[in-house]
Amino acid sequence: MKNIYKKSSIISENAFCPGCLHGVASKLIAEVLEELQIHQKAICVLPVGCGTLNMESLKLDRVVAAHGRAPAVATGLKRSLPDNIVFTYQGDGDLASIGLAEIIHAANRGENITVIFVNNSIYGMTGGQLAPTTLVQQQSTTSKFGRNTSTMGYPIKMAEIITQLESPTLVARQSLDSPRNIIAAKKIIRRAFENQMNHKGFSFVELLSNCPTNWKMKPIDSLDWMRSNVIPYFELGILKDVEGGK
Amino acid sequence: MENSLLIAGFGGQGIMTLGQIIGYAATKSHLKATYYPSYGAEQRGGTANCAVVIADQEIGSPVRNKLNHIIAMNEPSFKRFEYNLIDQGSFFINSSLIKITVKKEKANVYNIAASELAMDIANIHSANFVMLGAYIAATKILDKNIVAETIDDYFTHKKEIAKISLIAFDEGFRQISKLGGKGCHDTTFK
Amino acid sequence: MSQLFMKGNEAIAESAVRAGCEFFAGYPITPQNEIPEYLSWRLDEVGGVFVQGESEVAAVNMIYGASCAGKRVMTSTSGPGLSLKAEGISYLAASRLPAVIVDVARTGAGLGQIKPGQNDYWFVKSPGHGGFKTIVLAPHTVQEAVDLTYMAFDLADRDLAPVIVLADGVIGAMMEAVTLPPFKDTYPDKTSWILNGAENRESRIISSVTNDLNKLESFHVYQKELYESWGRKDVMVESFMASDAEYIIAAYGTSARIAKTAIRILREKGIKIGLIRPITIVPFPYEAFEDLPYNNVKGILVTELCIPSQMIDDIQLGVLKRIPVHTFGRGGGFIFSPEDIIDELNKVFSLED
Repeated sequence: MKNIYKKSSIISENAFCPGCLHGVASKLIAEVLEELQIHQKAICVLPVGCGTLNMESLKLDRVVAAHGRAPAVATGLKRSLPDNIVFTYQGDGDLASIGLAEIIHAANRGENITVIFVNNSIYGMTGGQLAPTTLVQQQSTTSKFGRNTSTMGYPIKMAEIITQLESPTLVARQSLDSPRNIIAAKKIIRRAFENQMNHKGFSFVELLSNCPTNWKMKPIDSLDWMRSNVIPYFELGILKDVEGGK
Repeated sequence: MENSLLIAGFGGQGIMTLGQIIGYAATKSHLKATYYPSYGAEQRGGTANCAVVIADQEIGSPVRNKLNHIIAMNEPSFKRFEYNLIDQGSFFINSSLIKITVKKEKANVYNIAASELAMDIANIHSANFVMLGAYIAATKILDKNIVAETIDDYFTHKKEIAKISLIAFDEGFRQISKLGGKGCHDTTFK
Repeated sequence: MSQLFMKGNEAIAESAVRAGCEFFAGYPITPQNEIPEYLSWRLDEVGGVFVQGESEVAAVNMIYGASCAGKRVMTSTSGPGLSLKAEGISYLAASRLPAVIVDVARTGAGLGQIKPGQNDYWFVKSPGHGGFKTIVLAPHTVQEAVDLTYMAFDLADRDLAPVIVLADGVIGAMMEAVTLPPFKDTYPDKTSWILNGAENRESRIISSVTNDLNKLESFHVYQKELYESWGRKDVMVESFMASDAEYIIAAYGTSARIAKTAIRILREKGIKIGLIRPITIVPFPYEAFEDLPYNNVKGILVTELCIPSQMIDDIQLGVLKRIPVHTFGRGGGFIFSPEDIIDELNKVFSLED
């Protein structure tokens, strides 16, 4: 029989809720690191939030940062170990709310790191509160009647903000809702790590994800909701690509 | 021996430079020294003062309110610290800018027209070094040559400033010898 | 060894370089600015890394990252910045990462004033959430600031823990002669725990969080034992003219050196007075106060550049009300003089009557 799929050796059991796409994000990273043969040089800086659960599943050197501070921790690591591969894995509460200063300034300094930003529009680990990326009218445990823009503002488009800075060399957003998008996501994750290997500076990949548990949906329905609500607001594509002339 | 000196004036009069040079020269002379610049959220050109203690044993407090010597470069500074001088202490007064009479009794007063003398030498910025010369000449607290060397070292990369500063420093010595090495205040040791 | 006349902040920075500090991240705040300013060019010169963080929060997390990589790391700040670094210090302690944190203290809560103060004593006793301690070293001269900073790196590596050097605005801003220590050339081996990529070994994790509650509790027990061991072996205290003293001044840092001048003046008048100066704030030298000859000592004056007194809490634990303990301080960034201390001693103990 022909072997057409092999699970990455650097990922163990799935640590996430059933139907959650975080597991897909982790798997893509693991596959890319292994394919590029950099998994033995990689150091993963984990966030506070659901992303922290990777501490149980990724068989890489890893450190759990304080909430939002992963880009600062990654700065210290990468400046100390320029030949290693340092990346952060952060959620939307971690990166776009409490860690906004750290991500903007790490990007602006052009730190030669890779940032994987998993955006599921909600605080998952703490039980479904309003996130900076929660959609307009979307309900959460702290916005029971939906996100009201007059008091809660609009969902923050992080990839667009990072794109405005001079230093970053690759900024992209993909979605994990379908096989087609997952393949595209893996391609851009690979580019983001190659960028670091080639000393090209700061790369930022935003991955749209779901949260069936806190969106209170069946996994399959959460994917439909992503397609009809999330993706139309957070447009997919490569926003900045210095190597590719964009 | 433990001697406390306060140097006070406007920002820009080289107050801090003077304090540091005395500290460097004392260290070079194998004496103990502390220099403490009073710092604060002050605007450029505001008041500036620093405390310098020289001793032959471990120095405790780097800041004193009983001073052996005061170098006052402007009037507000003089007024502020006048009564911190101990009896038989010495004032070194920039008489170009300080026109008020000393009220503190039992004080040596050395009136040196430092700003005017400095302008005659090169420019007003060397007034502090005229005062330093007068101070070292009158108190003999440090060796003249060591202080001169220290000035030269301090301005290693600014030879022109070093030259002018040393001329100003010598002028200070000349002023004290003109005064016969003595203070000139009527109320001295009354 | 030749002596250099150096500013406290710059001397601390140079001492860190000589202790092998390879990574510094900081953020501007008075009165410690000369530390990052000096290291911004000096670390470059010796092949180290300097990063000016976007905040104190970022700076402390940058040293957290560099410490994970096994580097000797330092950050410096003053009171308001220490509040922001408290988060990172707690994570450093919980993740067992060595680091040196310098606090050049100023006066007042909130923004207070940039002028000198000893207002962070209570704070550094446990500088963050979750119940942990760090060793706290408090210099009273520029030379001691150099020596204790140098030592702090070794203590941090020994315990795999953050260590605080608690200076104040006077020590930071003043200049004094120092003899600098030699450049260190041997360091503890950290290869067994650092992160540098899982090549030919199992992958590692550095984390302050664990789902294994038994493991977490074992760590808490370890912390308890570590802090107790500090009390047995790391206490440093200076006794100055105190052996026959009838009156004791208790002070640390700048207020202690001011007290020394007051004591010399009073000793010349035949008054039996001395100083007990904690050099380690944590572990605190309780024994120096427990073991006072209480048949001879009549009273203690705690002098600090802050109001209200903060160190009195620890002094009282040592003295246990056996003799009167008074406090004297200046707030608002004012510095008391030796004469001010003498006046206060006369007021509370009628010394010169």
